[in-house]
Amino acid sequence: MRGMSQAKLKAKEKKKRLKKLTERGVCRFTRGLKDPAEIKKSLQQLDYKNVDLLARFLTPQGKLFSRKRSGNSQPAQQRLKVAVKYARQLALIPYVG
Amino acid sequence: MKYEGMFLLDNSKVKADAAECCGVVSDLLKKHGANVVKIERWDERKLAYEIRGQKRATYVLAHFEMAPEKPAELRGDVNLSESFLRALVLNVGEDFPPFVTAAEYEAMRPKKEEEPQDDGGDRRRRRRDDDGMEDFNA
Repeated sequence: MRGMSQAKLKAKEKKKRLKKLTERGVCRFTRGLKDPAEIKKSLQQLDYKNVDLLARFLTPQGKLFSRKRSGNSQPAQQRLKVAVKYARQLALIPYVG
Repeated sequence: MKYEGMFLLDNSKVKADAAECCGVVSDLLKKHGANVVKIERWDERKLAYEIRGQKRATYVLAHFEMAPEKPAELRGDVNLSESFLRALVLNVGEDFPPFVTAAEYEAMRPKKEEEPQDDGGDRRRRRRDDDGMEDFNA
């Protein structure tokens, strides 16, 4: 841009790159949604019956991933946690293994 | 109040066919004054771990309406029953969640494309005792 130094241009480019990277890390269930009704509908997928989806958030040993590892928002992780525990109780997924 | 119930039935006590499974669950719910909105055999599958020595069970999913003090009695009956292995009764609030069966979840799973098997073309598969002298010795 006219009048902007090289250093400022570089800083601007870096900020743009970082913004793109952080967007990818945002929760896959609430990404881009602002309306509470839409968020609620999106979080409904985190159901104890949806074993395939739940299995993606478990280690090979059957443990839940941390929020840092899964990238989930707080409400999404809470729903996931509850769904996994119900699914374990119903023998849809194991407690261990 | 509106509830969603998932019931596990013992295959050795109750036949796995849909009519009998749903009948058993439906009878239990009506005994406790429930108004059954929808009931379906969810799946018959292998359990992630053994329950009462059983490795497989039938799952029945039901959406029903019931008085608020009744689920506790229902859970009590399920615990004492020999036909039921487990039950999960959840209060769903104002609206019932979507009623999705195991078959529908299976259909939603992305299908992997099968890779074409490589038979090596015309290359003859060599056996260990093949010394290449077959035609010579014949």
